[in-house]
Amino acid sequence: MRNCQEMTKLVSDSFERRLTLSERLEMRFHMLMCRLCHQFLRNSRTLAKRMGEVVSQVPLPLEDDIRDSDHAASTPVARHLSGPPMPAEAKQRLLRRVMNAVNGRGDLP
Amino acid sequence: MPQPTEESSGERPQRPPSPEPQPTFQLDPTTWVHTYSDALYSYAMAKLRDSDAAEEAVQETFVAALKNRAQFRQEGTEGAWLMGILKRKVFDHLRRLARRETNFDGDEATLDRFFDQRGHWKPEFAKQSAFSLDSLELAEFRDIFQKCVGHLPKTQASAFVMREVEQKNSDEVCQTLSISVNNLWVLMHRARLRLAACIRQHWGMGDH
Repeated sequence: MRNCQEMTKLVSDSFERRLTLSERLEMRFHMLMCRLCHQFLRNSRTLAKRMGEVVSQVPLPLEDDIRDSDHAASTPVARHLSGPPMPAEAKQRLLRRVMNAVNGRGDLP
Repeated sequence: MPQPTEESSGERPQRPPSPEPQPTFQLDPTTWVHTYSDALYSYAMAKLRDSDAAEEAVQETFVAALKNRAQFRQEGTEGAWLMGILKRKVFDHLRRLARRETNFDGDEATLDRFFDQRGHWKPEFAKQSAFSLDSLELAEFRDIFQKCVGHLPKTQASAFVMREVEQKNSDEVCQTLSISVNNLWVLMHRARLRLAACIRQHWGMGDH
């Protein structure tokens, strides 16, 4: 029989692969006995479900969005789970490095 | 040398073809930086969740693009071209991290936080009242989730976001990160434990 640590691994695995019959039975039995593991199961389910909500509400900035490059940074599409815009100082460093590369002083160490 | 025929009695006279093949348009790196840096950086941050690594990836993307600009001809698709380069840089970085982080010896702390030596939940968890992630409103949940994903070890975060947010299948995630499926399941287990605990903690800090 699995302890709770091993049981949470099995619970997590149940989202990744089909469990065997005996694994399913052991899990069901453990869930009846153990409030914390049961809570872990419920929270894992909710996590998966809410990821679905989050994604359907605001589409992810998929790779293709950038093709419409003039919009990619400004549309609300790019907001959720996309990163922030580039900070000004980072942009300066980038520009410097690009200009160095243009002038042939580029990638020297 | 034959002159180009100007049959369309053009408003715009065409230039004769030059003997050397020229790039079909003039590159302007400064404009590139201004046009694409935000979008590229945003993508890199979403994948890497690390501002230094994201900045480095974007810089390398532009430098590589400049180096290979001779191969690039099709005006108007610079964004997709740069994105292609960036993606390779980003995934190379993720793979390097995964190689390091899926050597799980360094991450025993994750499990030790939750379980005692016999693998039972630690007493502080046993004392907690029931908590359900259902009770959070979506906007609130999203904010807390973002924060908590940022606290995960990088490879756990990448694996979790690819699987649960982007809903990629396991094979694809394993391939992207160059990890085995068993590694992936271990990562998902730890990510689920830590995320649930982190979300709970932040939820507890709000006024509810």
